[in-house]
Amino acid sequence: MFYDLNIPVTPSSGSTPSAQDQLETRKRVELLVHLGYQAVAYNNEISGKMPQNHVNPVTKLALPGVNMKQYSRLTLVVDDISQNYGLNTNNPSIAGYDILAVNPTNEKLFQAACGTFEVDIISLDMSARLPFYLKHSTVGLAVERGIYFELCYGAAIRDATARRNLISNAQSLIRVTRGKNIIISSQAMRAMELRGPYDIVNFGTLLGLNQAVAKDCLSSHCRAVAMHAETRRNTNRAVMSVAPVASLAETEQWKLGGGITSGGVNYTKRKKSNDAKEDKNASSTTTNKKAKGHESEPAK
Amino acid sequence: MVRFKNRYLLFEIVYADTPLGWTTIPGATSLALVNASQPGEAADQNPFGDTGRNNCRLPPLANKDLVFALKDSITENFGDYGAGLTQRPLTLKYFSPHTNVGILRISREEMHIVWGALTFIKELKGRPCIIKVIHTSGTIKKCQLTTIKYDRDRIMFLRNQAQMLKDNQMYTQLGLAYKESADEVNALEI
Repeated sequence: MFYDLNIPVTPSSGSTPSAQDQLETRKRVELLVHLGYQAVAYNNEISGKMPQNHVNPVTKLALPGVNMKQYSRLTLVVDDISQNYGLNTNNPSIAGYDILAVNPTNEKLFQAACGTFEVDIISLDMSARLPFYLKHSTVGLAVERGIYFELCYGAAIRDATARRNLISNAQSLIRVTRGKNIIISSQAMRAMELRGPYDIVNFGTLLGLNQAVAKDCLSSHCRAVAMHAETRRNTNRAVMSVAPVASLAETEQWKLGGGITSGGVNYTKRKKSNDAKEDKNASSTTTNKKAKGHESEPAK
Repeated sequence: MVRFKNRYLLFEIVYADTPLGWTTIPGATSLALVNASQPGEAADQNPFGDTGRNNCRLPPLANKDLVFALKDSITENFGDYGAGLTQRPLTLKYFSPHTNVGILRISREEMHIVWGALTFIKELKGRPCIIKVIHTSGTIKKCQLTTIKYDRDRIMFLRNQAQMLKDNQMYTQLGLAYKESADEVNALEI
């Protein structure tokens, strides 16, 4: 299963994407389906501090009959070490996104991102010269914490200088990470900048990755990112997650024992909050209390 | 002495202006149907893209153009050294301008270079496109079989569409196109 975790959908003006943007997104996703991808993340990029009361502008497309997982992703371009970006799950404007990435623009922030930030992806702008050296000691911290580094090939297809920089930066990244914890994604502004998954695997081998590892960069590593994001958002200290009773599948209903009636009440409540897709935290705290009675809970 | 080994790449050209008629997205299909149902536009904006020779408004892409574009891309991305390495065994064994599928023979050692160059082709004769490699194999036989299977899947899809539109002419034409392309692929020397 192949993932493309970077389809930029940053609204050009205003807070919601225009019809033109949506058509362009649809084109790109249809081409991704044709090329054989099965998961996509729509990326919204914000530089600097998050605005107050920010609402996730990403709308997931309705693709009936197509097996395509869709995620929303926020990339925060951070440039000031003294500022508090509020990169934690309690921040409601960040919790609205499935995947969280940072783009550090200087070495101090890169260190902070590798060492302490609670994010899933560190995305450096590989199409320009990196303003700092990647050091094994710094990058190793991120690898240990299960944070992935992103290589984007979209700019490399657009022009030759970017291609040159991408190859050089990718080489140094592969050297310091020893080929671990890298994902490859497109960052394609337009549909014609996308490429087939196996074409990218081949490009990965040109960059110096092993063929199997290059394939993992598009598949299992991306899956790890999605799981990491899930763990960050929906678990308590990455140990325990509480799900509403209603989320059990039909075949798993037996786990409830006799508590189906209260589950039924819960179900309607959960359905509503799913539709709204917002203030997940608030709704989950209310459902938690009810669900706890029925879920088998690991001892803390 | 070990014999010289080749690789055969089966590739497909995806154009920006050709609708992805063969994908299984109902939205895309219905869009194509809407276009066709308006008589004025049907002639101009064909939902089947470049499937039949008669529908093609642009002159079909010649084998020569494709090889030149590929060689240019190799020189641009891998320099004279790369061009020299890949020059000798590089031949286009088969290319069909109406299914946009072709088979390329390259030497096994330099496969990654040629494939990388294919990846970085942005346009052919001014038409933006993507070249996607569908299959690689060590013998041309398997490439032929995959080509026929791939063509069949696509033509069947288009035929079903034509049936839905009650376009009999297109239906028979596509049937002929399939036979023709299968014969063409089979006629390749092994």
